Amino acid sequence: MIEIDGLGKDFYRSGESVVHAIRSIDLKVARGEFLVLLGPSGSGKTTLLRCVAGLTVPDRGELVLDGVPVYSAAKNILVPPESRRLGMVFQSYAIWPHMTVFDNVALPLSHGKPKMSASEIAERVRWALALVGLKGYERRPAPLLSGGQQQRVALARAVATQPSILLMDEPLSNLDARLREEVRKEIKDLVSQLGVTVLYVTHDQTEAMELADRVAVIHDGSVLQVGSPEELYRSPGDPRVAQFFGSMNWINGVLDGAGVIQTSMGPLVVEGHKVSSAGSAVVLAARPEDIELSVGTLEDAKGDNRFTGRIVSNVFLGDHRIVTVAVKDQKLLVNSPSFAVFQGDVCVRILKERLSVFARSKLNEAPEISKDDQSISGYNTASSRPNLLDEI
Amino acid sequence: MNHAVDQSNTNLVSWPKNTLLTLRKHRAQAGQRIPVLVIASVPLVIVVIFLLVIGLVAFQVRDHLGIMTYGLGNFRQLYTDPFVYTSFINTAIVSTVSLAVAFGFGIPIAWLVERTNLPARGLVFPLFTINLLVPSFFTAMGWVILFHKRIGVINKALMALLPIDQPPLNIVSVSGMGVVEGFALAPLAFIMIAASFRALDPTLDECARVHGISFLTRMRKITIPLMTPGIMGAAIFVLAITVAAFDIPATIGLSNRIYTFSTFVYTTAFPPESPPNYGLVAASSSVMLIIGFFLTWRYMVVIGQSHRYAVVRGKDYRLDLIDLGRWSILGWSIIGFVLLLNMVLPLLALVWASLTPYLQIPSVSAFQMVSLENFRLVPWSQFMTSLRNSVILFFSVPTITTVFGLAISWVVIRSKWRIGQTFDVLAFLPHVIPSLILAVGAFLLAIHWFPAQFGLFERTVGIIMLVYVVTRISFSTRMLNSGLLQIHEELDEAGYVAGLGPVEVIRKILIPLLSATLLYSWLWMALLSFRELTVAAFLASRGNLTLPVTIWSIWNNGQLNQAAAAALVFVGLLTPLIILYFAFGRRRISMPQ
Repeated sequence: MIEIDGLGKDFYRSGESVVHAIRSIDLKVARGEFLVLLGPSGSGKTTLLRCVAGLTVPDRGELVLDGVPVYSAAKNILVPPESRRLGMVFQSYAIWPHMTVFDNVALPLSHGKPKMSASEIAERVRWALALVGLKGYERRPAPLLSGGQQQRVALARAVATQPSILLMDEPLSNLDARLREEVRKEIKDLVSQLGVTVLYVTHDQTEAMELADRVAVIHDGSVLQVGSPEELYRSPGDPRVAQFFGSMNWINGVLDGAGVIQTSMGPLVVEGHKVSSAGSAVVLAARPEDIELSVGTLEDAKGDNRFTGRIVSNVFLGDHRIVTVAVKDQKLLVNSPSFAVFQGDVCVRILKERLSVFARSKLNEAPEISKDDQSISGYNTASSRPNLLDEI
Repeated sequence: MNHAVDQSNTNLVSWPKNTLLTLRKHRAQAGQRIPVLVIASVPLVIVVIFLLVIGLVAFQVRDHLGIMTYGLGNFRQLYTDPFVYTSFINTAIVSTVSLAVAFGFGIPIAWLVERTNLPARGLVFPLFTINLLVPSFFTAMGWVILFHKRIGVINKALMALLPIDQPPLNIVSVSGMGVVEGFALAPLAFIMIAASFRALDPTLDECARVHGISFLTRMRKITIPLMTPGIMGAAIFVLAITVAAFDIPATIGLSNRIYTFSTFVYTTAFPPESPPNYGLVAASSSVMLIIGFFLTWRYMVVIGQSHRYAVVRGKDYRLDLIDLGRWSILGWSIIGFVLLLNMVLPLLALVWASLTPYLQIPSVSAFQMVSLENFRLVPWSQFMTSLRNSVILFFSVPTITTVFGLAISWVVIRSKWRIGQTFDVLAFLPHVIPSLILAVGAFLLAIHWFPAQFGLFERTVGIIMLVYVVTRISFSTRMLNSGLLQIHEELDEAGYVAGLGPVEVIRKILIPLLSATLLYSWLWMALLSFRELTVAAFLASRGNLTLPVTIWSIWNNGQLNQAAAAALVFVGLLTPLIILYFAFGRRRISMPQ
């Protein structure tokens, strides 16, 4: 169990400028839970992980691991990393290059705490290597392994001491795409088999969705939202969270007195939104799969939020199509079935129960989307994705 | 075949005429590669000739009638002469002691600067760079003034203050020279070890830390084994310097009849009374060469092994530095101690000696004798002549070396010729061959094969310039190699496609992009040429004295106080040059933190 309470860390650049790497983060990871810290580079997620490991000393707040306080600014507690009994996988794997595979896995057992006998160590190393599928590699010099194998040695070393908490810092980012997928599955199996509590840092939302019990989206040193992958995808509490998971259509509008949102396409009905005051500027977010297309006129279709649109482009992606449709001057991305071919004018229906509404003021806080972040999004439609800032 | 290509080109009538011209021009420019190759090979051929000359003269024996034959006589004499034996044993002791001192201070200081939050640690690097630029024979002069058994000021003071009748410290001894040499080389050891600390991925240590391994175990199991190739490489390099070091043995030992290899070679080549024995000089130099080659080979093996440790690098973390707290006082004490012994105390000693007529403990009566008389007594006409020679070397050596170095680097990094590898090894040689031996080679070559022109060599700094250029080739090519590797090769290729030849690509593309590296290495080589003693002393004659040689010869004549005065004037001349170096080279000097 990891309890993070009001943890903060500042860095000082040369001169006086302060960088708030972590502002003030509260987070609780339950025993046996897999929590992923997801965020763009520079968001502070690695700093947070290093604070939990003890490699970086925070400036404020408290940190409790398995009920034992390891850092407290108020009570002046600081337990050094070597006494925290953690397992950790580094992004670079940090395989000691002058040792064999066996020695790499055995060092934490032979020189860490508690001490073990040589036969116990040998057995534990064999167990750990078997767990990651590296049986028989004991005598290999570590640098002679491939990237994927080094990654597995790092994993075996991290779990060999059977820690109750496992920290992982972008462990897959140095692997190629196919291997990444394979190791991802292995990590998931291994972690559930061991029942270990995991804190996992990544900037890859697919990785986060596949691995996590819960995801904490970190941005600019703060947690934007914590929840299961589905919660974050379906009901993002913040436009930046919505942006981070998959593609999104952004529609500007103004809330009128009747609870209807006036947009350039026409009035839109939304269910259960939290923006209350009439006349406030809002932005609507609709997933491409939450928009339906049908042939024919508006009268033929049923339900709310129906518009006439014109097909702009149509990209065939095998199991589905990405269709761009224009309703007046608002362009929308739509996920449509593989076999449905649309041309000319169509009827566009936006599902009202799936729409998210955000106050426009909240969007102003949203930072510019870097190219890096765009490439992370689920669909490869970065260029056609509406730019938030252009619309405001 | 070229002809056939030409024909097929002319058959393509649709090609515009200027394209054809460009193609021809391009082929003609391929010929530009040859001059680059020739320029690159000049200094390397010279090195090889020097070494061959030494090898040849080593086997030349003259009988009692003066008739020359070839044989093993010189080596036999080398083996049986007790004087040779003592000199070599002394050299071994000096080298061992100085290695221990240099690394005993260099390693902890490098750790302090690279891995801890020592306050103002950014100052250590420039301070030690300045330390490296102060000629070590000045330091040695200061040490003699302070710690000489009989005349040393501190020894005298201690004997006056304490109830002892023997001087407690004696720098004029074999181990004493080792200590002085060791302190003088500590900055170099620091700079090399700091580089290997920087190359060591800190996550390797952090990973061990998270997995419960204590500081001492991490040092023993992770840090030290991984640093070993770097430390070994640095140690072999420093050893090659100490084995043939001339400045300190010549300043401390020569006038007190304590000989090491370098001073033995010097006295054998220029004996005060008997005729010189060049065969013996060459034979002992070739023994040193063999040791040098052995060390080079070990160095190559060690460096080759370090590639084994190439690991996947993660993103660059903000390295979390070890908090020293109150221990930083101890850290700065260690650094301050080295600087005090290397620069502050010797400089104060020189100032004191320059102001007084003879060495004495500071006292009321001594202060009454303080005057600038020593500065008046400095042989100024000789000083000015040698200043002119040093200035000539200051400008010419780095310029010529840079031209050669650029050509060699281009052949090694860019040409893709198989000979590039050979050039790389040859250019590395002067890095480990003591400069004294190259001076011996040049000297023997001049007196044996150019006796008629020898007068010319004696009147000009030409021969010193030549040896300086050859000894600096390693540094220059290593700097330019790493500079060239950072320039993407497509920038060259874009130049070739645009119709430039290799010389034009070097001139128009590479030199502008390398300008920072070129300026930095030019200044460094200029400063080293200005302060160098070993080669200039060995090749010294009336017409080509450099400033350091002049000061050293005043010292060797026993005029310690005048030598101190002249040395201070030299320091005054060196200071603005060092400031210039920091002003232009700061980008390279400042620590990447």
